[in-house]
Amino acid sequence: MKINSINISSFGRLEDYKMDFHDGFNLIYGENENGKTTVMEFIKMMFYGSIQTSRTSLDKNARKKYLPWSGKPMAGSIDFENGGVRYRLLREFRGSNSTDKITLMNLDLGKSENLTGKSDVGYAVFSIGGAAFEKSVFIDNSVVMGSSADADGEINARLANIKDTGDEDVSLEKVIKRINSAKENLISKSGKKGRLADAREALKLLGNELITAENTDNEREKMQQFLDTKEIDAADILRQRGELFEKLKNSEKSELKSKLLEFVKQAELYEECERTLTLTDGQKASKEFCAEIDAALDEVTAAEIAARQQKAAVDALTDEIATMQNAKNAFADTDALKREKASVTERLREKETMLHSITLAAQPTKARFNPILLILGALLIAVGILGGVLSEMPALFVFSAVGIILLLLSFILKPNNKNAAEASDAKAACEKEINELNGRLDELDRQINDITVRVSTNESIIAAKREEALKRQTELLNTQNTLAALTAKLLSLAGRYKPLGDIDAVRAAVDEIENNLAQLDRYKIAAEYAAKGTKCSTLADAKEKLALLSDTPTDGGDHAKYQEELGALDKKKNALATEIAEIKTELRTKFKGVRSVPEIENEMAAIKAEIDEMDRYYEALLVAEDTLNSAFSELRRSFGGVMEGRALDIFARLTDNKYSTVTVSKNFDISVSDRDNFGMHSAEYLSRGATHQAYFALRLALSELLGGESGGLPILLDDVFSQYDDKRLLTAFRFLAEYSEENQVIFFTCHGDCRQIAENSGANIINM
Amino acid sequence: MNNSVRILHTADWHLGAAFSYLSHAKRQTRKAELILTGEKILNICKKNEIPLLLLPGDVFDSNSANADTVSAFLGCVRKYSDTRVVIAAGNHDPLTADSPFLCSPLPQNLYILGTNDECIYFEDIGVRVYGKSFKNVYMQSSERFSIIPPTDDIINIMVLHGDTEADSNYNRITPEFIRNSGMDYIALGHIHTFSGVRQLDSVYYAYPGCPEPHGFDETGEMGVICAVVSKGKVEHQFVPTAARRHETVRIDIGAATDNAAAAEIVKAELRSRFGETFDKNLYKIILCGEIQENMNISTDEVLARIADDVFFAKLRNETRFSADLQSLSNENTLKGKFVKTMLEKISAEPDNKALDSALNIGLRAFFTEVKYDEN
Repeated sequence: MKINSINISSFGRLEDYKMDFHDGFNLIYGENENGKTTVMEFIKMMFYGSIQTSRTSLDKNARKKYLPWSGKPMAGSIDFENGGVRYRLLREFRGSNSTDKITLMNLDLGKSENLTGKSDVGYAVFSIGGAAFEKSVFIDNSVVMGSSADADGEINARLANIKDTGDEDVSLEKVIKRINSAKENLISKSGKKGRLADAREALKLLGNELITAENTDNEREKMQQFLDTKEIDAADILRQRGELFEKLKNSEKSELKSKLLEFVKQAELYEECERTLTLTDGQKASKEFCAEIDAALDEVTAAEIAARQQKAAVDALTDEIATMQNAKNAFADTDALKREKASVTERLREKETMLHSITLAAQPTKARFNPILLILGALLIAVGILGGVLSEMPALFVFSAVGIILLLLSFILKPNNKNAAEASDAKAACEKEINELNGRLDELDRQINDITVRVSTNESIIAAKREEALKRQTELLNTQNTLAALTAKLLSLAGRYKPLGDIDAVRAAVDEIENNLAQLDRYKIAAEYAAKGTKCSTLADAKEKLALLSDTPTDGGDHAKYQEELGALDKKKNALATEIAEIKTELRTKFKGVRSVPEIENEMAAIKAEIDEMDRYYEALLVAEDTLNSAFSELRRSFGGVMEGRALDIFARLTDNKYSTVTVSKNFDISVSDRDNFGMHSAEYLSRGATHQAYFALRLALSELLGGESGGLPILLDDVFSQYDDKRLLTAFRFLAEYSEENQVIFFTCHGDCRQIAENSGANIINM
Repeated sequence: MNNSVRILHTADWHLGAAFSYLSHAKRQTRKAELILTGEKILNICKKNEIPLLLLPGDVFDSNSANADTVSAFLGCVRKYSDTRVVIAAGNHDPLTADSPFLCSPLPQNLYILGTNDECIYFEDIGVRVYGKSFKNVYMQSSERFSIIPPTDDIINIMVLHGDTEADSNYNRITPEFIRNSGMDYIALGHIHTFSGVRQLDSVYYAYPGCPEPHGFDETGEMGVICAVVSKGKVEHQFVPTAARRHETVRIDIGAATDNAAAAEIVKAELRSRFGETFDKNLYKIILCGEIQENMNISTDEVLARIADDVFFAKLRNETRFSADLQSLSNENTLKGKFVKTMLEKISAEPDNKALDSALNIGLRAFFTEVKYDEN
């Protein structure tokens, strides 16, 4: 491969600048500021664009550093030949490699080549990247190779495939880059980004969430346990309530049983009582029945009373008649009075005789009454009575009244008897005696008359009494008959209850019935009272229920006490229920939305599985990377000898065979050993000129190796021998002249001695 | 007295599950399908006159399941009132105070086992159902169930959420526990794939798996167990119920020349494996096979090309470049040295999958970009 010419339209200070190159050794001479470095940089940038870009360092920003002074667009072209084909590369520099306008003309065919990656046109031409270009064929005055991973990687990769197999497409750098890219896709260099890092972070966050969830679960569990204890308490209370309810139930059953027993007892007594009240006709004795009997009894009683009264009356009349009869009999016994009267009369007569004698002796005797008035009076009485009765004129009875008055006056207005004095005393005595006798006689007469009257009256009364007694007796008989009938009726009526002998028995029966009826009512009331709450209305019901309660004790405990205890327990229960409800509400709300441990664990498991996959992949990437590096090392050991051999060959020629060994590390650090001293020495310990020679040798060796079978690469040298003494300079140019027989050499210098030596060595001199 | 009983055993419905890997619309679809599958299961009971549905836990994905989900489930159970549904709450929906089972009025045909050992006797069908619910997220295992069933003709069934794996915090269920249970059948929940009906001594037990899959760790046919349980005998049938399947498939796209061809191969392969309804399913597709060096497989592009043909898919690229490794290992190049070194390492550690992967990645990196390629 060789560069034929360049045509700079505008690049830095150069404007419409052309330069042709020859095959072999080209030396471009120019003084400082003539544009040597600009031309060299132009060539590099035509192929690679800007390899480095820095906003702050102008040296590291060629696109900025070489902005045309004319202000025209940075542009140019370069003609080169590769593989026997002539090309022209045209490039208009813009903002970046990717925006540069690049055209590669096949001059032989007269058409543009298709550039798939136009920014990599240098790679297409030289088969090496920009960094490798800078470290191999592009040799400026800083010959010593600094460490650059990219360049080292590429060069190493290129070297690693030096052609035993012709496989040029493989680049260790690219392979490693791809692997690193895959690694970084999983975990970035910072370790903070990438799928695996993200997944691990997600897993870590989930781990934290899991801890939180577990803490939450613990808290929830504790609350749940607390709730459980409360619920156990509640259950215990419910159990106690249950027991109390059982007791209450038993006590209620006992109470019911007691009531039923009482009900049955009362009901049986009632029935028994009712049986005693069953009448012969099957009907039940009732108050009406009793009233009926009572009515009959009242009739009988009334009849009895009447009979008794009537009998009493009869008896009284009989007694009265007997008394009156006795009295009559007593009156009828007037003989003593009569005898006394006779005696008195006798004596009176004697006295009167005596008096008469005396009176006759002394004075005539005075009449005891006025006979005229007496007769007149009697007459008027008779006229008045008769006239009043017969003429029915009550006024006529006045005559009778006048008659009576006259009659009385007859005894008052009697004529006076005036006798002698002497005889007067005797007479007086006699008269006194006579008066007493008369008085006695009158008394006796009155008594006898009275007795007579009374006897007469008694007899009529007795007769009347007898008549009345008879009447009463009749009535009594009637009454007694009625009584007998009523009694018979009563007995018949009351006999419906039970056979009864007499009224007293009836009364006793009525009393008994009434007592039984009252008892029946009492039994009924008692039974009804007992039946309350039993839901039984009949004895049969009660007995049926009782049968069901056969095992129930009658003493079921203190119902009221149980209810009181139940009330207290209910209060506790309600308080506990409230507390439980509050805990449950808190449990339901406090943890709402918090993901559960299994949910998180499931998600973690899924992520872990993914992480495991990625870990395995990452591990595989590491293994691949490690294996690639070790494979490279192994390979490098095989190609290293070639590179080192060629470098030693060049180095020896440049140093007149002073050094016997050159070793190059992976990082292109050079160690040498000279023929006179044992041991390897790092190039850093050599003189500056020797160090430059060593690295120059290495770069040329690399260029040869990188150029490969398709032809050597042109090398671009920018005053690389400035550190050399004359001898080294001469040796170096001689070597370059030989080297240029195989590879185009373009050497830029501002030193006239270099130009001279090169010219002497056969170089084509191009003056700028 | 019945000497056998027909049961339907299902578990781990995870109603309200997030399906976070799906788009919002598809997530909603899947959530709705969980409920529909639940109803389908109850309908199986109705059609087959199965009186007893056993549901050992994780009915809900969490106790924070939204009200609509809870209401839909309870409404569904209520609708099929002839079926008794017995639930033992699991670690996802433990019977804490915020449990949907404790915060909602329950249908009469829904029985929630308590957190202590419990027995419900269904006299009319001659079955005792034992079990208990999770009281919290974790539950320590018991050596034996505290209620030992009497020895009689009544069928004894246990409903329990738990893990047969050792060292599990989720109610580890030991073989001893199963042996000592005295049950005729133990309906287990927690493991999301059908275990088959197993037997330890005279006790049968099984995990039915999820009736509807939730992720790519639940692949294959998902469904419920319909069984006739009698003394010393369980006849069962696994009845598929899932509306969609989750499948992880490796598809060789070695014949493809570009991504479009690879997508066509993928679709054809899915159709071939899962029939014409392959489009309903959710797939994790691992692209494999040996491809040409110049072929750059893009999982994103392949996915874009099949996205409209399946409900959901994600892809991983595990293809290899076609290469004669032995021949390559003899080359004195970086690639040759790399292959040789890797083959030596693989030979030394044949079980180390990372080495195999490293070989593939490294070789691939010689030709094209590499990355962990799963979308």
